[in-house]
Amino acid sequence: MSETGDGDDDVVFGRSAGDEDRPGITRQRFLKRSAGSVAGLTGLSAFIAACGGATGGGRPTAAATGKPPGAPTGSVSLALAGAPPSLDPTTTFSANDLPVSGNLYESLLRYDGELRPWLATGHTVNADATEWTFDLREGVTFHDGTAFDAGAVKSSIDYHARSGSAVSFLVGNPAKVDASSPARLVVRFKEPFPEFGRYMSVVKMISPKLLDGPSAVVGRRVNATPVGTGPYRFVRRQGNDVVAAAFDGYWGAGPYFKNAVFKVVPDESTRVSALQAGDLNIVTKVPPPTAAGLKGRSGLTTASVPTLTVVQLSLTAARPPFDDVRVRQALMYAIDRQAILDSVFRGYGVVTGSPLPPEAYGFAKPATQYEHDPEKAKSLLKAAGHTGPVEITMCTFDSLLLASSLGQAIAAMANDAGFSTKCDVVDQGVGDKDLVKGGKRKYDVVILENGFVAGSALHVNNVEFYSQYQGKDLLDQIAKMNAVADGPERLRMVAGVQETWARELPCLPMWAHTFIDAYDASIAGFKPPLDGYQPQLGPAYRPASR
Amino acid sequence: MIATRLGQGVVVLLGAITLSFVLANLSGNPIDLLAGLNSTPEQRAALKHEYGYDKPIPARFVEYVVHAVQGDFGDSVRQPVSAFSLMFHALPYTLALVVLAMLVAVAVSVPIAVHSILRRNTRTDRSLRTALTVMQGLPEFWLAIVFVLVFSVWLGWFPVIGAGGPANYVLPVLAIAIPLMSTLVRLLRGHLLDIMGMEFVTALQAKGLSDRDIVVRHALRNTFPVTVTFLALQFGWMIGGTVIVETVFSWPGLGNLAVQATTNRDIPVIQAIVIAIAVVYILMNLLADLVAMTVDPRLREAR
Repeated sequence: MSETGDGDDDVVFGRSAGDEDRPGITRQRFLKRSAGSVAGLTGLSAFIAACGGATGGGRPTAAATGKPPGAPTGSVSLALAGAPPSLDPTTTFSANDLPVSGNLYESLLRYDGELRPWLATGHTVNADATEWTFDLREGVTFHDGTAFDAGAVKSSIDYHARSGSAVSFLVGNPAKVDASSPARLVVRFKEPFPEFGRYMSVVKMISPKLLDGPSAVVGRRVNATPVGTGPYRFVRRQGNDVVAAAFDGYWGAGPYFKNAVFKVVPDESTRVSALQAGDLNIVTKVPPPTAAGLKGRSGLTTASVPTLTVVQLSLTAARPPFDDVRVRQALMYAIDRQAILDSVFRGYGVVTGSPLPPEAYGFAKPATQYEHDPEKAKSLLKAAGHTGPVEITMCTFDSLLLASSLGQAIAAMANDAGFSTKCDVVDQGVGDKDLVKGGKRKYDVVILENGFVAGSALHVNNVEFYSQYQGKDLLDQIAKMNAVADGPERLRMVAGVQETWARELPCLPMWAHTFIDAYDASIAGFKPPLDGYQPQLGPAYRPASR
Repeated sequence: MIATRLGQGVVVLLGAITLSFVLANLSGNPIDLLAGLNSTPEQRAALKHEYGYDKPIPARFVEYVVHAVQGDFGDSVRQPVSAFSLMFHALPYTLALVVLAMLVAVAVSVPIAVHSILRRNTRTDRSLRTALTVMQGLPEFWLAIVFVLVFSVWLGWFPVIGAGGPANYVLPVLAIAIPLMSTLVRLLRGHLLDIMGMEFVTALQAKGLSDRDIVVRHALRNTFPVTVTFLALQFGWMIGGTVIVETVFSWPGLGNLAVQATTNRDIPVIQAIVIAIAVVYILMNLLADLVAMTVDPRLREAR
């Protein structure tokens, strides 16, 4: 009637059968069985931990060396933290689209600490920086076959100017763009524009065939089918990912991969796992604690570069308590920048005391420096009339590298030196809103990452925006600095601005970031970008002979 | 009966649409985010007009409902594509995960439950059941991360990210299926036990059928209504509940889209997702009722 199992009880059905599920189970039996499975799980966890140790360790893998292949072969994939909002470079300028547009498009010049020729073989500027002349490279074509010439550059500049977008300031307000000679472009401005050259290392050249029509229409067209002169050309979107292929008619060396795929992987630890598993080849901006663990895994290598990105504390200097320079200085004395760099960022970064990154034009370390001195901070606060802890509100964006740890460290140090605060980690959108509002800002302090992508003093020029600072002396100096062409006089002025900045502290400069990129050790020719945002895939290759 | 259900479904859908409108407008508008850091008040006003945020609320609500019913939620705030198409492209990926996870869970749970009934209180049965109890406590995200670590990074058997080929499905499906399996086994087992205690079973035993035959050919069928209802309700819940698994595997489904849309304050996309989940939930409920009625004639007389 009943089947006997391989156990000790009879298996009997029917209403009168004993049932394990009734509360007849004894505590001992339950404990025995639970112990069995817990022991099993513990063993499994120990096994997993042991395996983890075994796979890592050892020497860091050296990057590959060897000659590039004769023809583009294979594919390379790079991780993005979010979907690119648009592939039209005038519409957006964010960490999610710059890696892609930096490979599809190119600019007239390139900045690597100096302005180098790129699509322009040379450039000159007149004494007061109102007239710029660019000699254009021959034999360059866009992905759609259109020739690259002065007319094409003019179209792109016009498009940037009329788009009215947040990046149109890069091309300024040209009084005249002279493209009459196809190999030479002359741009004239009414006012001096000393930064134009460096900005032209960021302004991207779009195929003129796409640029006819109203901005909104053109924007959609360019986003749907971006066409530039870069080593990789747009093929299609695959969901959120962007697929690009080698451009056969590229004017420069490379490209060496047949395909380049930009994969959107929002979660940071997933990016790293995917890199380790081989699903991705390149992951940029790996947080230093994670990178330390990556060193030594077989097949991966890391490279770092001090970038043009500076962490700064943006203060609302138009109202108490930060309208008093002594309070601003107190906060600067309160923060031990090197200690935060060493503990949170494992030493990856450079403390200079200047609002500019070391590779920016005119960088000069100010003579006025602030060593870590909480007692001095407290005495400054007292001198400014504060008796108890000074209450301030502070926030940082979640998009910053190690935002949460950074915010906590800064808040803790401020609290030790006579302030009373905590740091909120806010969504970028919320934080942006707070800065856009001209009048009453919610936060006294906003911790930002400023990317000086063109090597120019952009975020210094916008000091009023970041801090509502109204000090005439500094503002005058900045205005004068922007009215003179590059040269020894300008360098003096830029140095002067940094010195005044260090005394006045409208915003508190923390350090210049060193970003770490992790990638497949079989890839050669890849260097983390100086601007911190546009990794160049053109020179990267897998050596032909192993 | 079906008509009543459909009518109820429509009411629920309208409620969801209203709620999504209310919630979206409680948090202000995304114009400041859209306009960007350096925008002027004029630029922001222009954008406000373009997106219709300068109209009074009742007018906006009516417009919203009319459009929502047609599936038009406007364009995504971040990309120049319609919110509906973004949601529509993501939905099949999540559906695929959930459906496959359910199939796997059912395929594994039924034999285990049957075995558990037939070989009750044997050592295998007891250890299996304890293991399942422990497994039920394993959160999906922990499973997902452990799977990635063991099977992708160390062993390299399966890829981590994306939904490219069949290999990509294995780990995320398993991560979702395993906690489901445990619940399902216990449900089936309890239900089968109840059924085995009924009189018709005694009658079948008297006829000479083996226990195995009774369970597989007769008792199992009787579990359908409850099991199907359970799965249908789980389905609706899981469509929204795969967020973390999708994040860990960078799976291009609704969960991932919802997280990104929330980060970007992409309200049209969020609304599209909310409505999509509501629709799925309503349809699954309807399906559950239909299947139950088909399988169990006793339910057909109700109402």
